[in-house]
Amino acid sequence: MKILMQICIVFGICWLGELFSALLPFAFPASVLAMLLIFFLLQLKILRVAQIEAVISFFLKNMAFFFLPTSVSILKYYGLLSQQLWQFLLVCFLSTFITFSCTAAAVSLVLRVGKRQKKGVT
Amino acid sequence: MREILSSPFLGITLSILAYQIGLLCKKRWPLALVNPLLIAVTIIILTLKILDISYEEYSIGGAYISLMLAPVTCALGVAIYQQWEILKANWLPIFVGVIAGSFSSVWSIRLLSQAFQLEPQLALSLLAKSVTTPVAVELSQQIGGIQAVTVAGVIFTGIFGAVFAPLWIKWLKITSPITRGVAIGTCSHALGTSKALEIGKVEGAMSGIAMGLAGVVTVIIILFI
Repeated sequence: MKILMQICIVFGICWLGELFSALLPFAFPASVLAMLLIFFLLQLKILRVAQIEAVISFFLKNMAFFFLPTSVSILKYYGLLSQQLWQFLLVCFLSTFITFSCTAAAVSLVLRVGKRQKKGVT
Repeated sequence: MREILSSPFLGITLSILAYQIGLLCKKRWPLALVNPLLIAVTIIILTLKILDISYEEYSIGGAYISLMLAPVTCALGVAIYQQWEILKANWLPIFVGVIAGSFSSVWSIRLLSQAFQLEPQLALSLLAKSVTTPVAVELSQQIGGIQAVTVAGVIFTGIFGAVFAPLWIKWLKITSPITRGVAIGTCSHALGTSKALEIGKVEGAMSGIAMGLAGVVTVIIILFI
């Protein structure tokens, strides 16, 4: 019964995410809305982590499993991908490195400015 | 007898078994290159080919598993909530880092796809690849990408991040655990985060937060900017 209620809460929030997504005047992923919604429900103490803990940790622990069927559908697109496999992998690799470097540069810049300001105050 | 192949139980059972084998391999050879999802996908594709089961028959059961992607994303919101204290204490560097990283991700993919003359549909599918899979998949569908290609991009990105992040940290001489974590989480989502956790506790927590935020920020960038 406990688990059933947890599933009910989580699925209910997912449905609300879809509802909000349908009501919004622009396209926005319903699951991201559900993610924001559950975050705010927890922040506002309307919902407690204990009320959904078992189901949430089940999903977090087995996250990769749920992408399996979507990934298998690569079967259907193999032709398209195999023509440009190397370009595809190169774009993946280079953009991952660029993203890493830009993020690191931005964070360390903010940290350095923050430190300098603290020194100025004291 | 053929209709027995279109029972949803077949796809679900096959998926769980294949994933369990993937997990066992990961336990036996704990390398970033040994990815349970990648192994499971290979096993399923081979099984379908050998037993002459069509993708459509498999996906009757698969659809039930895919349905759970929404609750999985929802669970990420809980994970962010649980790390709220760390987020609050370092909100400025985290936010600036994630925003800069998400922009550079989207733009570098756009420019690189053009430079390498990638098919437009492949390029679109790649746009969201830096973010965590549930977000990437839904985003990809909305902008006209191919979900399966997006998942492939997300997995390879995660593997690249997890394998090369320690090297990049050394190259760029990054000493702050906050910087390391945010950079890893923004560029290579959950797979990178698992590596960040190995490097350190603060790195892991930062990476987890950055990964969740990057999902939201990337959605906003791609859909509105």
